Amino acid sequence: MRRFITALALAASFTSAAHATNFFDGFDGSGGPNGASWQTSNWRNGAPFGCTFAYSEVWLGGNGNLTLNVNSSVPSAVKCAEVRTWQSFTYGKFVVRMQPGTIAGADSSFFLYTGTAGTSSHNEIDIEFINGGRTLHTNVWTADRQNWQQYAVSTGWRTIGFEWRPTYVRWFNVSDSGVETEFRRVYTTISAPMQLMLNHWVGDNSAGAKNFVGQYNGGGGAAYYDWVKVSD
Amino acid sequence: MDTTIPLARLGTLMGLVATLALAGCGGDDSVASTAPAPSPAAAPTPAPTPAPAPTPAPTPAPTPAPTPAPTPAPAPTPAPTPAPAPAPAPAPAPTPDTAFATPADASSTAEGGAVASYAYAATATDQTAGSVVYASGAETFSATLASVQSYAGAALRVHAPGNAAGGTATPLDASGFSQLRIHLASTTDGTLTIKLQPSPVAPDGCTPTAQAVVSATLGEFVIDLNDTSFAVPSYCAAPATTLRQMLAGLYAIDVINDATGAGSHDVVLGSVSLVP
Repeated sequence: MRRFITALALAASFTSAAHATNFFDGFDGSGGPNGASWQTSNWRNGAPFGCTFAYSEVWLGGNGNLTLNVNSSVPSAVKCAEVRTWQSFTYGKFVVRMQPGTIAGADSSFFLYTGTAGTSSHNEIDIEFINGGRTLHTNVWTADRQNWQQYAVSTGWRTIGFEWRPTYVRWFNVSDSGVETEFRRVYTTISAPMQLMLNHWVGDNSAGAKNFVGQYNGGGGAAYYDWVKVSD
Repeated sequence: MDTTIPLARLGTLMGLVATLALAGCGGDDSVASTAPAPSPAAAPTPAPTPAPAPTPAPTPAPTPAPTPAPTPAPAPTPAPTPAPAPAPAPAPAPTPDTAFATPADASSTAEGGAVASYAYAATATDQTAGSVVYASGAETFSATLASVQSYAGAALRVHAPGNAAGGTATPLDASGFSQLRIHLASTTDGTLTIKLQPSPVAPDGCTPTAQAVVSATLGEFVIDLNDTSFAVPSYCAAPATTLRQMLAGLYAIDVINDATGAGSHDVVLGSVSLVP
């Protein structure tokens, strides 16, 4: 019986598509991120990504942060970082405390994703820091139709998030004293469960990459994530 | 393992960048007819679930054969000490910003430009504007709305150097600068709008415009002076001049809090400079 319950719990944790559970990771400890919660990418996406996601560029620093690193020690084979939750979520508030990367031509992100781009299965809600961490790109893809807006932002640590409900998505800042300030709201209907993803990557300097994340001039560096929180 | 996401992200980006190239600083496929449909992702090739490569067993280092002791070489004649090379020229210091507007008091900047304010609302009688207040190197202006408005704004305007109140407009040629460095905050709202104004100013707001996510603490924003960061609002007709042409005659910079909810809405503006 105990084994059966354990199996049920595991199945629920890996395939849950119900409403958001209260998920939290403070990224304490050292070594890799908690493998029961996070899947770490270890492959190359191809253009316009100018780097290969690698296990080696994802670690807990022992200081309470998750590091997603861009490693340019071999300029012709830049490595970068990505994790995603095994679990999928439906609705909820998704908040992160992070220090975006500041590499020109890079993207450090916090987003939900499901489906295949170019098809109606594709849904996505984005917070992406591009342009050396000085531009915040917000976007929501509903059945592969996007609605985006960009903002200038100051660099450094920040707490930011979005709330996904049956009829809308809204983005908000959180002050040091914990006060939420909404800065964007889009009325849209997404119901498909999505996985939560974090990544930090550089563009390949193709025209498309430069138009989005900017010109990558080499160099590496980290984006840091203090915690992520999902709540109903 | 989900093998579709990496390639799907690629498709996302391809569609996104195509839209970015065409649509400036914001887009909605449902209304922006110029935004192309995102390029479909290439047929995904399933990425195998990556198993960590096994750590190879270390290869033992070969035991080195004993090397016969070398015959001592005669001590070389010491080479003359070369004359010290001239110290390398120091790297050129980065070109400093050019100050555009440094608040000096409630009505002027250290560069001799005027500080002004304005406010607007769908129902003007429902809006009460305050006065510009200077403190700690920043200007603050607020307006209070008695009811929710369909549109409204409370704004500060800082003029280019030398443009004192009531004087003849002498715009600044800012076409050679690449970025705007500006210090902003709002204690009431999360976003502020920045508009680059020519002379005469664009009363309809149809001038290059950026948005910033701000907090209650004055923060520094470095915004690229390009069409992506500073786009003309979507409600405007296509601009007759390019951004560079407009920057050649930069007269003022407006910072607007366009929140429409009932209550107080403020703008806090610190120093503004142009980055080469």
